[in-house]
Amino acid sequence: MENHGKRHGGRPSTSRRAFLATSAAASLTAGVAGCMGGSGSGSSEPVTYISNNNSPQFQEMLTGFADQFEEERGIEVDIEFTEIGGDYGQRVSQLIQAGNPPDIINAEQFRIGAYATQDILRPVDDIIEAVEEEEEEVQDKFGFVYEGANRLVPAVSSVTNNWYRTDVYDELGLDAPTTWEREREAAQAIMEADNDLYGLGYTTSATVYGSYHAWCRLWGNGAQVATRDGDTVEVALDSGANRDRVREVLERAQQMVEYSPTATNWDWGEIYESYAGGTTATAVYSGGRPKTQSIGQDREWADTTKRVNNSYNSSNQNSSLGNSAATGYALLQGSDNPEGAKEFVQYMVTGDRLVEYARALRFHNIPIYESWYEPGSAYREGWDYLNENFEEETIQSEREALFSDNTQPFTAETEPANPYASPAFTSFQLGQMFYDVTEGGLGIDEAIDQAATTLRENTGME
Amino acid sequence: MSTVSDGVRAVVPTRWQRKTNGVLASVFERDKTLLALCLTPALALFILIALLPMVWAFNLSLYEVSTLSPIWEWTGPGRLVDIVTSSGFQIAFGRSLVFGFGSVAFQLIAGVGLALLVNKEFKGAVLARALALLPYLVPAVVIGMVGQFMLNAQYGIINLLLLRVGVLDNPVAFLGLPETAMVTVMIVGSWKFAVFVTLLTLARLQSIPEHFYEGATMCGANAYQKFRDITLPRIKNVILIAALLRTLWMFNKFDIIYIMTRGGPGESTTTIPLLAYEIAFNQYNLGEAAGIAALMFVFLAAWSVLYFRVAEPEQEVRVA
Repeated sequence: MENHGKRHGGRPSTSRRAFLATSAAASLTAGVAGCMGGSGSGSSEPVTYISNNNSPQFQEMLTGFADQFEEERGIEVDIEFTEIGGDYGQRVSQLIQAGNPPDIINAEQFRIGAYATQDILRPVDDIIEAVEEEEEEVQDKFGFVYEGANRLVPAVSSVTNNWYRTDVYDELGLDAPTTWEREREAAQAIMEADNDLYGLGYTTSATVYGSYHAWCRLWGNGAQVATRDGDTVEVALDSGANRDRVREVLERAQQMVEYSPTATNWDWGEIYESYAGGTTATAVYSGGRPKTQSIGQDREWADTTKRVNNSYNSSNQNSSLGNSAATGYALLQGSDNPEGAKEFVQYMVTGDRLVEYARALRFHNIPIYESWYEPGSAYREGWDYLNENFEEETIQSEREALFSDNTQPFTAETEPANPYASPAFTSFQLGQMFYDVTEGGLGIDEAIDQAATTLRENTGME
Repeated sequence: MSTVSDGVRAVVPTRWQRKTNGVLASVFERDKTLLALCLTPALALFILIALLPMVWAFNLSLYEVSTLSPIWEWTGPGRLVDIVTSSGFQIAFGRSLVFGFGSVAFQLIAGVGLALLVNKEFKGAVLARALALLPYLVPAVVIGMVGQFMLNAQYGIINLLLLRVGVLDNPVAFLGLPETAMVTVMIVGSWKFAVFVTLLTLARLQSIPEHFYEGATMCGANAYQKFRDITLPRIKNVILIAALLRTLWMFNKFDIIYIMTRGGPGESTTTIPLLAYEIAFNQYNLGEAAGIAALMFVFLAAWSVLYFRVAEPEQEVRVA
């Protein structure tokens, strides 16, 4: 690592390696680490990649890419498969702390800022340029720029979808839940019409999905989490007119939970399961799982499931603002084979490999190239799953939403991008704020103050 | 002597046999050498898997360390004071006490009760004892996931049953409400570990001579008197040791809570281990998380010393 042992603010600092050197006991650990490899820095070392998808299908696909790559370029790639979520972050941090970072990691737009602010990501502008030459232009919204350089090579993205059951909505003569008011009217009518079906899943939980849902709801009322003043990124939740917007969202949350099952501990799985399982008629989601799970479970409402954009408060907004969350690859500083890693990432996000990868995601994550949505594209041509299960209207509606200016990553609240959006997201404070006012017994102003204070203490924002 | 050993003896030169016998004799005759030989493997393991990580965590807690960066920046012991005085730590500590002691109370009552039950002689008693110990074989991850599934408000069997028999009018999200989440996790998490108490207690119960009870019966003692004067004094120490061990383990418990609630709803089941995890992997502050872990160790060590001093579980109680 280039900045090992660097001193900050006159206080002594040390790296793990320095500590090991002075600790007799820890020399055993160093010995074990040495046996695990990673001592060289030349390009003869294999490229190391920690994948966040360990399903058999992905293992087979990615291993196939690696074998093919080695055959074509003569560069070996070692892939370690872990599970997405906590396990992945733990494994990556273990390797970083051990002074043996992998070359390639999977990165999501709403998490990458946490890596970037630690100065551990290599610039990837040259990869993006090469990819653009081979494919087409990569829109800025799918990348992540930190200190003037791109740090994420996007592969696919997801978009905020407000999935709803048209069979239920049509039967009750309800409008699609595009605005807050329509959403509330529909939820109420559904609850009154059928005791076994809730209007929607309105999550107020301190989880990853809870954070996502809360942030989308704030955007639905034009509220922001952060703002920028020059080089300083500030928490905006409790400031001026923005605070009033946040307050309105939380008041709304207090009403809407009445039409939802208790969702105070729901994460991604619970929200799509509640929809696919027939408990709720509407679900906000990043990506297509409520629909793809309904298809997978052979539900009768799989075909009648349609999407609209993130609902908005029509009394002060003219249009929706939703989230795009690209996922892709990042390269870590201090790894052994950065040049090989660049080649392999470029290899994975171009040509047939990307088509295969994107198809494996079953239209939950969707392509970042607009031409791929054309019926004759390599992505769509001959792919029965998509063409048979998704109406053209839904496919094009997702495309339109993804490439619209009204869909942005959470980092885009500030210009340049807010690198602290990641720790703000993963601190779960937004979901916690929603929980506090709906189930936790806190007053709205108290909850806003608490969330803002905690974000200032823990994220790097002021 | 078998033919095989005779054969081996025949091919090993006599001077080797003498030499080997001499070495072994000297090892077994010297107490210190024998002691060192027996203790070394256990001691090496203890150092590698317990002491080193502990020293590591204590050292780490004195530095500002991001989970995603190998740079360690010295902060000093003041960091531990900051942690102790922070409201987040204090609230989580309170929850850990509730979870730890509440779970142990449940485990002792259920565990001892079960041991007394299966200790009785009846047809199929051996099978009943074997079945009673089965939960201990199930991994905590499985218990957590199955528990979560069974308690689900929409499709969980517990809600379905309670609705069917009329106990509930509406489904209850046991793990989604702050009033019920902690108790629910405590019960699900304790079900398996109550068997640990059963194991220890049952072993002790079976060592109580039957004629003690026969004598008491002849003296006119009723069932309660027999339990109070014969059984309880003999299982008391086992219960105290079980209580100490279970308190240490439950205070440290992470898996079952993480699987079932991830510390929620809100933060209502965020105990100290979950707080440390959250700070390390959601807030990326490894130094502070290590500080929390170090403080947890200090508390548990102090608790163990106090417990041994006050309860004296090592003392054997003798009843005339």
